[in-house]
Amino acid sequence: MSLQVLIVDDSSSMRRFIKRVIAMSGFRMDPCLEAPNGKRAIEILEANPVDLIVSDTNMPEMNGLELIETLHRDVGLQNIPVIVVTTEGTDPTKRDVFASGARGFVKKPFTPEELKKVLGEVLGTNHRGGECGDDGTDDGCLDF
Amino acid sequence: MMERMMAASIFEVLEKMFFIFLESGDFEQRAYANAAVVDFQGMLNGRMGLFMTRSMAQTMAANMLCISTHPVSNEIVEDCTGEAAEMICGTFLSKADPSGSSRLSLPVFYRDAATASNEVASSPGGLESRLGFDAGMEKMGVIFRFAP
Repeated sequence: MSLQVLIVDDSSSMRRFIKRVIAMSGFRMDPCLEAPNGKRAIEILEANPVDLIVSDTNMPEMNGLELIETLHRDVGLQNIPVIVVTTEGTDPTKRDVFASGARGFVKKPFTPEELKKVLGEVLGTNHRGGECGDDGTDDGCLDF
Repeated sequence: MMERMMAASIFEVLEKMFFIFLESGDFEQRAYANAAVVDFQGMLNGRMGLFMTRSMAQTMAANMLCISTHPVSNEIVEDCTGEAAEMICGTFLSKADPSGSSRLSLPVFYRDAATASNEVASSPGGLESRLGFDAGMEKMGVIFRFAP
């Protein structure tokens, strides 16, 4: 399955880790887009079609919840599914994240299997790992 | 009780994200080289410092990102150390403050652990916990300092 994914996280290592998990989950990214905060993510979304956003919450300039609110005010962007990946893992936070319009929630730290499961739920796919033959070194992401 | 939550949070993050299995040990300030500091505000207020040996930071970054080339670049090591600090503090706060009212600052990385230690000590504090860990020859330590 081919996807245009946007990964939003101020940690380049976390973006790289998430990208690897998505590739291991059998999704081909052509290419994967990256942003270090919500503000940059909006700029990328204005210029690129995206099928899925995976976003952190705690970021400079524009955080993840502000990003989702901005998406929901834009008719052209409001239907893009968002998976939130965050260190803030309490039940109230999870409720707030879903109330904001996110489709998936993953608490950091997470195993690849935990993210893979949520990816499958959000995308409605019966995903299988390793279809891309990705060895974890493929770097199809565009850094912005 | 709080220290058990801290230790459980540290074990959880190190095992899940970095594939490192720690054992409890002594907090050894002089052994540490790299550090990252995170502030937290909400029901609990304070500052947390994560300290580790340089090679521990290298191993964490290499394990998280499946990097086989050594040494891992400083940029990646610094980023991973900061992310680890944020995850440890966030995991602890999820346990200690289930209301979800606590918020984290962005992590700040320090190449000099002594400076980071001073930064943690400079925050208003009433209660402080220091925990030390070993992973083979590598060492890690955490300070949680809570505002009164």
